[in-house]
Amino acid sequence: MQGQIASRGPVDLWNWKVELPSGYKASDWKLSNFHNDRFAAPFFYLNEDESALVLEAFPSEGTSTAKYTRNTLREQLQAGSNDVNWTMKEGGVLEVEMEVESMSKGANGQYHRTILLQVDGRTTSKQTKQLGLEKPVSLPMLKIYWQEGYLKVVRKVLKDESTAGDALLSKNSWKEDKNTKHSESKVGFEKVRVRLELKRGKIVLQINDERPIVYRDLSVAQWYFENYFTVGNYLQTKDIGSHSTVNYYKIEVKH
Amino acid sequence: MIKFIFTGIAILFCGCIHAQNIDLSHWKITIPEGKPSSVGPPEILNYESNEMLAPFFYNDPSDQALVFYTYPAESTRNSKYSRTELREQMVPGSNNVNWTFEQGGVMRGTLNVQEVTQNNVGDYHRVIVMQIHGRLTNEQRDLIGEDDNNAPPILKIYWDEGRIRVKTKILKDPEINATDILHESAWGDDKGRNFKEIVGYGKFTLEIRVKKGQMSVTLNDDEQFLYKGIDMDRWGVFENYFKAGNYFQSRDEGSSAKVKYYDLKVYH
Repeated sequence: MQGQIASRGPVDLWNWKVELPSGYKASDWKLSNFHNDRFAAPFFYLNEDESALVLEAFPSEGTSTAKYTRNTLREQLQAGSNDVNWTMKEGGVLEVEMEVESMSKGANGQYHRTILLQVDGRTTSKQTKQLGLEKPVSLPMLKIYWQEGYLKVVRKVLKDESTAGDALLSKNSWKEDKNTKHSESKVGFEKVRVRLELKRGKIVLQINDERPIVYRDLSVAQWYFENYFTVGNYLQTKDIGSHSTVNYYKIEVKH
Repeated sequence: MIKFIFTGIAILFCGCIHAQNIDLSHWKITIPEGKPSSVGPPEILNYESNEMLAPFFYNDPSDQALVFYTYPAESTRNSKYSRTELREQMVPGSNNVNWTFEQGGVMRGTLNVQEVTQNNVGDYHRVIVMQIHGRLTNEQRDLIGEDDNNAPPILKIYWDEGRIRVKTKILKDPEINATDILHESAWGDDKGRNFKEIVGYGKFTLEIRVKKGQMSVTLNDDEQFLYKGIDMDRWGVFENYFKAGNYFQSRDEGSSAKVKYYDLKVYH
Protein backbone atom coordinates (compact mmCIF):
# COMPACT_ATOMS: atom_id res chain seq x y z
CA MET A 1 0.00 0.00 0.00
CA GLN A 2 1.31 3.41 -0.95
CA GLY A 3 0.10 5.14 2.16
CA GLN A 4 1.25 2.46 4.58
CA ILE A 5 4.14 3.62 6.66
CA ALA A 6 6.16 1.91 9.33
CA SER A 7 5.76 3.33 12.79
CA ARG A 8 8.91 4.56 14.41
CA GLY A 9 10.02 2.43 17.34
CA PRO A 10 9.62 -1.23 18.21
CA VAL A 11 5.90 -1.65 17.53
CA ASP A 12 4.14 -1.66 14.17
CA LEU A 13 0.95 0.29 14.90
CA TRP A 14 -0.75 -0.03 11.50
CA ASN A 15 -3.33 -2.53 12.79
CA TRP A 16 -4.09 -0.80 16.07
CA LYS A 17 -6.32 2.00 17.21
CA VAL A 18 -6.01 4.24 20.23
CA GLU A 19 -8.63 6.43 21.87
CA LEU A 20 -7.45 8.71 24.64
CA PRO A 21 -9.46 10.42 27.38
CA SER A 22 -8.69 13.75 25.72
CA GLY A 23 -10.92 12.66 22.84
CA TYR A 24 -7.92 11.96 20.63
CA LYS A 25 -8.44 9.03 18.27
CA ALA A 26 -5.94 7.49 15.92
CA SER A 27 -5.46 4.34 13.92
CA ASP A 28 -3.43 3.05 10.94
CA TRP A 29 -1.69 5.95 9.17
CA LYS A 30 -2.43 8.57 11.80
CA LEU A 31 -1.35 6.36 14.68
CA SER A 32 1.77 5.28 12.82
CA ASN A 33 2.74 8.99 12.73
CA PHE A 34 2.38 9.36 16.50
CA HIS A 35 5.96 10.54 16.92
CA ASN A 36 5.10 13.69 14.91
CA ASP A 37 1.75 14.24 16.58
CA ARG A 38 1.70 16.65 19.50
CA PHE A 39 -1.75 15.41 20.49
CA ALA A 40 -0.40 11.91 21.09
CA ALA A 41 2.75 12.99 22.88
CA PRO A 42 1.52 13.41 26.46
CA PHE A 43 0.31 9.82 26.54
CA PHE A 44 2.17 8.06 23.85
CA TYR A 45 5.83 8.41 22.95
CA LEU A 46 9.13 6.59 22.44
CA ASN A 47 11.74 6.25 25.17
CA GLU A 48 15.13 7.83 24.66
CA ASP A 49 16.78 5.05 22.67
CA GLU A 50 13.47 4.31 20.88
CA SER A 51 13.46 0.73 22.13
CA ALA A 52 10.11 1.11 23.88
CA LEU A 53 6.71 2.62 23.26
CA VAL A 54 5.85 4.43 26.49
CA LEU A 55 2.23 4.61 27.57
CA GLU A 56 1.32 7.10 30.28
CA ALA A 57 -1.93 7.07 32.19
CA PHE A 58 -3.29 9.57 34.67
CA PRO A 59 -6.82 10.65 35.42
CA SER A 60 -7.71 13.45 33.05
CA GLU A 61 -10.74 15.27 31.84
CA GLY A 62 -11.94 14.23 28.47
CA THR A 63 -14.70 13.01 26.28
CA SER A 64 -14.28 9.33 27.05
CA THR A 65 -17.17 7.50 28.66
CA ALA A 66 -14.81 4.97 30.24
CA LYS A 67 -14.76 5.01 34.02
CA TYR A 68 -11.00 5.24 34.23
CA THR A 69 -8.24 6.80 32.21
CA ARG A 70 -7.87 4.52 29.26
CA ASN A 71 -4.70 4.48 27.27
CA THR A 72 -5.16 1.31 25.33
CA LEU A 73 -4.39 0.04 21.86
CA ARG A 74 -7.20 -1.90 20.23
CA GLU A 75 -6.36 -4.47 17.60
CA GLN A 76 -7.83 -3.84 14.14
CA LEU A 77 -7.47 -6.83 11.84
CA GLN A 78 -8.53 -4.56 8.99
CA ALA A 79 -6.76 -1.25 9.44
CA GLY A 80 -9.20 1.48 10.40
CA SER A 81 -12.18 -0.82 11.04
CA ASN A 82 -13.65 -2.15 14.30
CA ASP A 83 -15.90 -4.51 12.40
CA VAL A 84 -13.43 -7.17 11.39
CA ASN A 85 -12.42 -9.38 14.31
CA TRP A 86 -11.52 -13.01 14.95
CA THR A 87 -13.36 -15.92 16.50
CA MET A 88 -12.01 -18.62 18.81
CA LYS A 89 -12.18 -20.97 15.87
CA GLU A 90 -9.83 -18.70 13.91
CA GLY A 91 -7.69 -18.10 16.96
CA GLY A 92 -4.97 -15.61 17.76
CA VAL A 93 -1.59 -15.22 19.41
CA LEU A 94 -0.38 -12.12 21.21
CA GLU A 95 3.26 -11.77 22.18
CA VAL A 96 4.28 -8.88 24.35
CA GLU A 97 7.38 -7.73 26.14
CA MET A 98 6.64 -5.00 28.64
CA GLU A 99 7.61 -3.37 31.87
CA VAL A 100 5.65 -1.34 34.35
CA GLU A 101 8.05 1.52 34.90
CA SER A 102 6.22 3.39 37.61
CA MET A 103 3.00 3.10 39.58
CA SER A 104 1.56 5.48 42.14
CA LYS A 105 0.16 4.32 45.51
CA GLY A 106 -3.20 4.95 47.08
CA ALA A 107 -3.90 6.37 50.54
CA ASN A 108 -3.81 2.85 51.97
CA GLY A 109 -0.17 2.47 50.87
CA GLN A 110 -0.99 -0.07 48.19
CA TYR A 111 0.00 0.38 44.58
CA HIS A 112 -2.72 1.37 42.16
CA ARG A 113 -3.38 -1.25 39.55
CA THR A 114 -3.59 -1.19 35.81
CA ILE A 115 -4.91 -3.52 33.10
CA LEU A 116 -2.12 -4.33 30.65
CA LEU A 117 -3.68 -6.85 28.27
CA GLN A 118 -7.19 -7.92 27.41
CA VAL A 119 -9.07 -10.16 25.08
CA ASP A 120 -12.30 -8.35 24.34
CA GLY A 121 -15.36 -9.98 22.90
CA ARG A 122 -18.31 -8.64 20.95
CA THR A 123 -21.15 -10.06 18.94
CA THR A 124 -20.46 -10.40 15.23
CA SER A 125 -22.60 -8.23 12.94
CA LYS A 126 -24.59 -11.35 12.09
CA GLN A 127 -25.19 -12.16 15.76
CA THR A 128 -26.10 -8.54 16.52
CA LYS A 129 -28.70 -8.62 13.76
CA GLN A 130 -29.99 -12.02 14.86
CA LEU A 131 -30.48 -10.68 18.40
CA GLY A 132 -32.35 -7.67 17.01
CA LEU A 133 -29.86 -5.20 18.49
CA GLU A 134 -28.58 -1.93 17.08
CA LYS A 135 -25.11 -2.16 18.58
CA PRO A 136 -22.98 -5.21 19.31
CA VAL A 137 -22.94 -6.68 22.81
CA SER A 138 -19.41 -6.34 24.11
CA LEU A 139 -17.64 -7.78 27.13
CA PRO A 140 -14.07 -8.65 28.00
CA MET A 141 -13.20 -12.33 27.94
CA LEU A 142 -9.92 -12.08 29.78
CA LYS A 143 -8.01 -9.33 31.55
CA ILE A 144 -4.43 -9.25 32.75
CA TYR A 145 -3.78 -6.79 35.55
CA TRP A 146 -0.58 -5.59 37.11
CA GLN A 147 -1.49 -5.73 40.78
CA GLU A 148 0.98 -5.33 43.64
CA GLY A 149 3.74 -6.38 41.29
CA TYR A 150 2.08 -9.61 40.11
CA LEU A 151 0.28 -10.27 36.88
CA LYS A 152 -3.27 -11.25 37.76
CA VAL A 153 -5.59 -12.95 35.32
CA VAL A 154 -9.34 -12.50 35.50
CA ARG A 155 -11.66 -14.10 32.98
CA LYS A 156 -15.33 -14.55 32.26
CA VAL A 157 -17.17 -17.78 33.00
CA LEU A 158 -20.76 -18.82 32.47
CA LYS A 159 -22.98 -18.25 35.48
CA ASP A 160 -24.83 -21.40 34.55
CA GLU A 161 -23.08 -24.06 32.51
CA SER A 162 -26.35 -25.26 30.99
CA THR A 163 -26.85 -21.92 29.18
CA ALA A 164 -27.45 -22.48 25.48
CA GLY A 165 -28.44 -20.71 22.26
CA ASP A 166 -28.81 -16.92 22.07
CA ALA A 167 -28.48 -16.65 25.86
CA LEU A 168 -24.76 -17.41 25.42
CA LEU A 169 -24.52 -14.02 23.70
CA SER A 170 -26.08 -12.13 26.60
CA LYS A 171 -23.84 -10.20 28.99
CA ASN A 172 -25.98 -11.43 31.87
CA SER A 173 -25.02 -15.04 31.29
CA TRP A 174 -21.41 -14.32 32.18
CA LYS A 175 -19.62 -13.38 35.39
CA GLU A 176 -16.05 -12.89 36.49
CA ASP A 177 -14.37 -16.11 37.54
CA LYS A 178 -13.69 -15.95 41.28
CA ASN A 179 -10.81 -18.31 40.76
CA THR A 180 -8.30 -15.68 39.60
CA LYS A 181 -4.76 -16.71 38.70
CA HIS A 182 -1.44 -15.00 39.24
CA SER A 183 2.06 -15.07 37.87
CA GLU A 184 4.17 -17.40 40.04
CA SER A 185 6.70 -14.72 40.76
CA LYS A 186 6.48 -11.03 41.29
CA VAL A 187 7.31 -9.19 38.09
CA GLY A 188 7.41 -5.83 39.85
CA PHE A 189 9.05 -3.20 37.69
CA GLU A 190 11.06 -5.68 35.64
CA LYS A 191 10.66 -6.56 31.99
CA VAL A 192 8.23 -9.42 31.47
CA ARG A 193 7.42 -11.59 28.45
CA VAL A 194 3.85 -12.70 27.90
CA ARG A 195 2.50 -15.01 25.23
CA LEU A 196 -1.24 -15.46 25.03
CA GLU A 197 -2.65 -18.03 22.65
CA LEU A 198 -6.33 -18.63 22.00
CA LYS A 199 -7.53 -21.44 19.79
CA ARG A 200 -10.58 -23.68 19.59
CA GLY A 201 -11.76 -23.87 23.17
CA LYS A 202 -8.38 -23.32 24.73
CA ILE A 203 -6.47 -20.39 26.23
CA VAL A 204 -2.78 -20.72 27.08
CA LEU A 205 -1.00 -17.93 28.90
CA GLN A 206 2.76 -18.09 29.18
CA ILE A 207 4.48 -15.60 31.49
CA ASN A 208 8.29 -15.60 31.16
CA ASP A 209 9.39 -19.23 31.61
CA GLU A 210 6.78 -20.06 34.21
CA ARG A 211 4.41 -23.01 34.02
CA PRO A 212 1.67 -21.92 31.57
CA ILE A 213 -1.78 -20.98 32.82
CA VAL A 214 -4.31 -22.97 30.78
CA TYR A 215 -8.07 -22.60 30.52
CA ARG A 216 -9.90 -25.36 28.76
CA ASP A 217 -13.46 -25.80 29.91
CA LEU A 218 -17.06 -25.25 28.91
CA SER A 219 -16.85 -21.46 29.36
CA VAL A 220 -14.05 -21.24 26.81
CA ALA A 221 -15.74 -23.72 24.47
CA GLN A 222 -19.02 -21.79 24.57
CA TRP A 223 -17.49 -18.40 23.76
CA TYR A 224 -19.05 -17.58 20.40
CA PHE A 225 -18.27 -13.88 20.38
CA GLU A 226 -15.67 -12.46 18.02
CA ASN A 227 -12.57 -11.10 19.69
CA TYR A 228 -9.81 -8.54 19.52
CA PHE A 229 -6.75 -7.93 21.65
CA THR A 230 -6.18 -4.75 23.60
CA VAL A 231 -2.79 -3.75 24.94
CA GLY A 232 -1.96 -0.76 27.06
CA ASN A 233 -2.12 0.93 30.41
CA TYR A 234 -5.66 1.15 31.72
CA LEU A 235 -5.15 2.69 35.16
CA GLN A 236 -7.84 1.54 37.55
CA THR A 237 -8.21 4.60 39.73
CA LYS A 238 -9.45 8.15 39.67
CA ASP A 239 -7.33 9.24 42.67
CA ILE A 240 -5.89 12.72 42.24
CA GLY A 241 -2.19 12.51 41.46
CA SER A 242 -2.30 8.84 40.48
CA HIS A 243 -0.13 7.91 37.58
CA SER A 244 1.34 4.90 35.83
CA THR A 245 3.89 4.39 33.09
CA VAL A 246 4.23 1.20 31.08
CA ASN A 247 6.92 0.48 28.48
CA TYR A 248 6.22 -1.87 25.59
CA TYR A 249 9.27 -3.36 23.90
CA LYS A 250 7.33 -5.74 21.73
CA ILE A 251 3.71 -6.16 20.67
CA GLU A 252 3.07 -8.78 18.01
CA VAL A 253 -0.10 -10.45 16.87
CA LYS A 254 -0.50 -13.57 14.73
CA HIS A 255 -3.62 -15.14 13.30
CA MET B 1 17.33 31.42 -36.54
CA ILE B 2 16.84 34.01 -33.81
CA LYS B 3 13.11 33.34 -33.83
CA PHE B 4 13.84 29.62 -33.46
CA ILE B 5 16.06 30.25 -30.45
CA PHE B 6 13.44 32.42 -28.80
CA THR B 7 10.78 29.83 -29.38
CA GLY B 8 13.10 27.23 -27.91
CA ILE B 9 13.72 29.33 -24.83
CA ALA B 10 10.01 30.00 -24.45
CA ILE B 11 9.22 26.27 -24.63
CA LEU B 12 11.99 25.48 -22.21
CA PHE B 13 10.83 28.19 -19.87
CA CYS B 14 7.22 27.03 -19.95
CA GLY B 15 8.37 23.46 -19.49
CA CYS B 16 10.16 24.47 -16.32
CA ILE B 17 7.37 26.30 -14.64
CA HIS B 18 4.18 24.63 -15.79
CA ALA B 19 2.90 21.64 -13.89
CA GLN B 20 3.72 18.93 -16.42
CA ASN B 21 0.55 16.97 -16.89
CA ILE B 22 -2.18 19.46 -16.32
CA ASP B 23 -3.80 21.39 -19.13
CA LEU B 24 -5.72 24.24 -17.53
CA SER B 25 -7.46 25.44 -20.68
CA HIS B 26 -10.81 23.98 -19.53
CA TRP B 27 -10.63 24.96 -15.88
CA LYS B 28 -11.42 27.95 -13.74
CA ILE B 29 -9.70 28.37 -10.37
CA THR B 30 -11.35 29.85 -7.28
CA ILE B 31 -9.20 31.06 -4.36
CA PRO B 32 -10.37 31.99 -0.85
CA GLU B 33 -9.51 35.67 -1.07
CA GLY B 34 -10.96 38.62 -2.95
CA LYS B 35 -14.64 37.93 -2.34
CA PRO B 36 -13.49 35.16 -3.34
CA SER B 37 -11.83 35.51 -6.72
CA SER B 38 -11.89 33.26 -9.74
CA VAL B 39 -9.61 33.12 -12.73
CA GLY B 40 -10.62 31.19 -15.83
CA PRO B 41 -9.25 30.60 -19.29
CA PRO B 42 -7.32 32.13 -20.88
CA GLU B 43 -5.87 34.07 -17.85
CA ILE B 44 -5.48 30.91 -15.81
CA LEU B 45 -2.85 29.66 -18.25
CA ASN B 46 -0.52 32.33 -16.88
CA TYR B 47 -1.21 31.44 -13.26
CA GLU B 48 2.47 31.38 -12.38
CA SER B 49 2.78 35.10 -13.08
CA ASN B 50 -0.50 36.00 -11.36
CA GLU B 51 0.30 37.58 -8.00
CA MET B 52 -3.20 37.18 -6.67
CA LEU B 53 -3.15 33.42 -7.29
CA ALA B 54 0.44 32.88 -6.20
CA PRO B 55 -0.16 32.18 -2.48
CA PHE B 56 -2.83 29.57 -3.25
CA PHE B 57 -2.16 28.04 -6.64
CA TYR B 58 1.41 27.47 -7.76
CA ASN B 59 3.97 24.96 -8.96
CA ASP B 60 6.28 23.01 -6.73
CA PRO B 61 9.51 23.11 -8.77
CA SER B 62 10.86 20.06 -6.95
CA ASP B 63 8.30 17.65 -8.41
CA GLN B 64 6.34 19.71 -10.98
CA ALA B 65 3.19 19.35 -8.93
CA LEU B 66 0.40 21.89 -8.97
CA VAL B 67 -0.13 23.01 -5.38
CA PHE B 68 -3.54 23.98 -3.98
CA TYR B 69 -3.20 25.77 -0.66
CA THR B 70 -6.12 27.12 1.30
CA TYR B 71 -7.21 28.33 4.72
CA PRO B 72 -10.48 29.67 6.08
CA ALA B 73 -10.97 33.07 4.53
CA GLU B 74 -13.81 33.99 2.26
CA SER B 75 -16.25 31.45 0.92
CA THR B 76 -18.40 31.25 -2.15
CA ARG B 77 -22.11 31.86 -2.17
CA ASN B 78 -23.42 28.40 -1.34
CA SER B 79 -20.76 27.39 1.16
CA LYS B 80 -19.38 28.25 4.57
CA TYR B 81 -15.96 26.77 3.76
CA SER B 82 -13.07 28.14 1.76
CA ARG B 83 -11.48 26.59 -1.27
CA THR B 84 -8.69 26.65 -3.78
CA GLU B 85 -10.46 24.54 -6.33
CA LEU B 86 -10.73 24.07 -10.08
CA ARG B 87 -14.10 24.07 -11.81
CA GLU B 88 -14.42 22.40 -15.16
CA GLN B 89 -15.43 24.56 -18.11
CA MET B 90 -16.31 22.48 -21.18
CA VAL B 91 -16.34 25.71 -23.16
CA PRO B 92 -13.46 27.82 -21.84
CA GLY B 93 -14.78 30.89 -20.07
CA SER B 94 -18.37 29.69 -19.76
CA ASN B 95 -20.20 28.16 -16.80
CA ASN B 96 -23.24 27.54 -18.94
CA VAL B 97 -22.11 24.51 -20.91
CA ASN B 98 -22.02 21.37 -18.79
CA TRP B 99 -22.72 17.67 -19.18
CA THR B 100 -25.41 15.20 -18.21
CA PHE B 101 -24.94 11.60 -17.09
CA GLU B 102 -26.17 10.51 -20.49
CA GLN B 103 -23.29 12.44 -22.12
CA GLY B 104 -20.98 11.03 -19.48
CA GLY B 105 -17.49 11.94 -18.40
CA VAL B 106 -14.25 10.73 -16.92
CA MET B 107 -11.95 12.55 -14.54
CA ARG B 108 -8.66 11.03 -13.54
CA GLY B 109 -6.16 12.64 -11.20
CA THR B 110 -3.00 11.75 -9.30
CA LEU B 111 -2.51 13.71 -6.14
CA ASN B 112 -1.50 13.72 -2.52
CA VAL B 113 -2.45 15.65 0.54
CA GLN B 114 0.74 17.29 1.64
CA GLU B 115 -0.16 18.95 4.93
CA VAL B 116 -3.31 19.36 6.99
CA THR B 117 -3.77 20.92 10.40
CA GLN B 118 -5.51 19.24 13.36
CA ASN B 119 -8.33 20.51 15.56
CA ASN B 120 -8.16 21.00 19.32
CA VAL B 121 -8.37 17.28 20.14
CA GLY B 122 -6.07 16.19 17.32
CA ASP B 123 -8.51 15.24 14.56
CA TYR B 124 -7.16 16.17 11.15
CA HIS B 125 -9.28 18.69 9.30
CA ARG B 126 -11.00 17.19 6.27
CA VAL B 127 -10.46 18.15 2.66
CA ILE B 128 -12.63 17.52 -0.40
CA VAL B 129 -10.25 16.74 -3.26
CA MET B 130 -12.71 15.96 -6.07
CA GLN B 131 -16.39 16.58 -6.77
CA ILE B 132 -19.10 16.29 -9.34
CA HIS B 133 -21.38 19.24 -8.90
CA GLY B 134 -24.89 19.48 -10.24
CA ARG B 135 -26.22 22.57 -11.93
CA LEU B 136 -29.66 23.82 -12.82
CA THR B 137 -30.17 25.01 -16.37
CA ASN B 138 -31.68 28.47 -16.61
CA GLU B 139 -35.04 26.89 -17.46
CA GLN B 140 -34.91 24.61 -14.43
CA ARG B 141 -33.86 27.52 -12.23
CA ASP B 142 -36.80 29.61 -13.39
CA LEU B 143 -39.21 26.69 -13.13
CA ILE B 144 -38.55 26.28 -9.39
CA GLY B 145 -38.10 30.00 -8.74
CA GLU B 146 -34.47 29.86 -7.61
CA ASP B 147 -32.22 32.88 -7.94
CA ASP B 148 -29.12 30.94 -8.94
CA ASN B 149 -28.17 27.78 -10.83
CA ASN B 150 -26.85 25.87 -7.84
CA ALA B 151 -27.72 22.18 -7.52
CA PRO B 152 -26.23 19.70 -5.01
CA PRO B 153 -22.97 17.82 -5.59
CA ILE B 154 -23.72 14.22 -6.57
CA LEU B 155 -20.20 13.21 -5.58
CA LYS B 156 -17.79 14.40 -2.94
CA ILE B 157 -14.45 12.69 -2.36
CA TYR B 158 -12.84 13.46 0.97
CA TRP B 159 -9.42 12.97 2.43
CA ASP B 160 -10.36 12.00 5.97
CA GLU B 161 -7.52 11.24 8.39
CA GLY B 162 -5.55 9.54 5.65
CA ARG B 163 -8.51 7.63 4.23
CA ILE B 164 -10.43 8.30 1.06
CA ARG B 165 -14.09 8.72 1.79
CA VAL B 166 -16.76 8.88 -0.89
CA LYS B 167 -20.16 10.45 -0.42
CA THR B 168 -23.05 10.69 -2.83
CA LYS B 169 -26.67 11.85 -2.75
CA ILE B 170 -29.85 9.84 -2.45
CA LEU B 171 -33.42 10.86 -3.05
CA LYS B 172 -35.43 11.27 0.13
CA ASP B 173 -38.48 10.16 -1.87
CA PRO B 174 -37.66 8.05 -4.94
CA GLU B 175 -41.17 8.78 -6.32
CA ILE B 176 -40.74 12.54 -6.22
CA ASN B 177 -42.10 14.38 -9.26
CA ALA B 178 -40.02 15.85 -12.07
CA THR B 179 -40.18 19.42 -10.77
CA ASP B 180 -39.66 18.88 -7.06
CA ILE B 181 -36.61 16.73 -7.78
CA LEU B 182 -34.82 19.92 -8.85
CA HIS B 183 -34.88 21.30 -5.30
CA GLU B 184 -31.80 20.80 -3.17
CA SER B 185 -34.06 19.61 -0.36
CA ALA B 186 -35.13 16.57 -2.42
CA TRP B 187 -31.68 15.06 -1.95
CA GLY B 188 -30.06 13.68 1.21
CA ASP B 189 -26.59 12.38 1.97
CA ASP B 190 -25.77 8.71 1.76
CA LYS B 191 -23.84 7.11 4.64
CA GLY B 192 -20.53 7.40 2.83
CA ARG B 193 -17.93 4.71 2.18
CA ASN B 194 -14.21 4.50 2.87
CA PHE B 195 -11.80 2.70 0.63
CA LYS B 196 -9.92 -0.07 2.43
CA GLU B 197 -6.62 1.21 1.19
CA ILE B 198 -5.34 4.04 3.36
CA VAL B 199 -3.34 6.70 1.54
CA GLY B 200 -2.12 8.95 4.35
CA TYR B 201 0.04 11.72 2.91
CA GLY B 202 1.08 9.43 0.03
CA LYS B 203 0.32 9.85 -3.66
CA PHE B 204 -2.82 8.21 -5.05
CA THR B 205 -4.86 8.09 -8.23
CA LEU B 206 -8.62 8.58 -8.37
CA GLU B 207 -10.72 7.89 -11.41
CA ILE B 208 -14.35 8.91 -11.67
CA ARG B 209 -16.38 7.49 -14.56
CA VAL B 210 -19.91 8.55 -15.31
CA LYS B 211 -22.35 7.25 -17.86
CA LYS B 212 -26.12 7.02 -18.14
CA GLY B 213 -27.49 5.80 -14.83
CA GLN B 214 -24.17 5.08 -13.18
CA MET B 215 -21.10 6.51 -11.54
CA SER B 216 -17.95 4.77 -10.37
CA VAL B 217 -14.99 5.86 -8.28
CA THR B 218 -11.76 3.85 -8.41
CA LEU B 219 -8.74 4.23 -6.13
CA ASN B 220 -5.32 3.36 -7.52
CA ASP B 221 -6.83 1.36 -10.39
CA ASP B 222 -7.87 -1.26 -7.86
CA GLU B 223 -10.73 -0.89 -5.41
CA GLN B 224 -13.91 0.49 -6.96
CA PHE B 225 -17.22 1.85 -5.68
CA LEU B 226 -20.02 1.61 -8.21
CA TYR B 227 -23.24 3.58 -7.83
CA LYS B 228 -26.35 2.77 -9.83
CA GLY B 229 -30.08 2.52 -9.33
CA ILE B 230 -32.91 4.99 -8.93
CA ASP B 231 -30.79 7.84 -7.53
CA MET B 232 -28.31 7.72 -10.40
CA ASP B 233 -31.11 7.26 -12.94
CA ARG B 234 -32.99 10.28 -11.75
CA TRP B 235 -29.86 12.42 -11.35
CA GLY B 236 -29.93 12.34 -15.15
CA VAL B 237 -32.14 15.44 -15.00
CA PHE B 238 -29.20 17.64 -13.96
CA GLU B 239 -26.23 19.07 -15.75
CA ASN B 240 -22.88 18.56 -14.05
CA TYR B 241 -19.30 19.70 -13.92
CA PHE B 242 -16.16 18.27 -12.35
CA LYS B 243 -14.23 19.98 -9.57
CA ALA B 244 -10.73 19.17 -8.34
CA GLY B 245 -8.43 20.69 -5.76
CA ASN B 246 -8.72 21.66 -2.13
CA TYR B 247 -12.12 22.44 -0.67
CA PHE B 248 -11.15 22.77 2.98
CA GLN B 249 -13.70 21.64 5.57
CA SER B 250 -12.67 23.79 8.50
CA ARG B 251 -13.24 27.27 9.78
CA ASP B 252 -10.87 26.84 12.75
CA GLU B 253 -8.50 29.73 13.25
CA GLY B 254 -4.99 28.88 12.09
CA SER B 255 -6.11 25.84 10.11
CA SER B 256 -4.93 25.16 6.55
CA ALA B 257 -4.33 22.42 4.03
CA LYS B 258 -2.12 21.81 1.05
CA VAL B 259 -3.02 19.41 -1.78
CA LYS B 260 -0.72 18.59 -4.68
CA TYR B 261 -1.89 17.38 -8.08
CA TYR B 262 0.58 15.63 -10.37
CA ASP B 263 -1.85 14.80 -13.11
CA LEU B 264 -5.41 15.75 -13.93
CA LYS B 265 -7.39 14.87 -17.02
CA VAL B 266 -11.01 15.03 -18.08
CA TYR B 267 -12.63 13.26 -21.05
CA HIS B 268 -16.11 13.41 -22.48
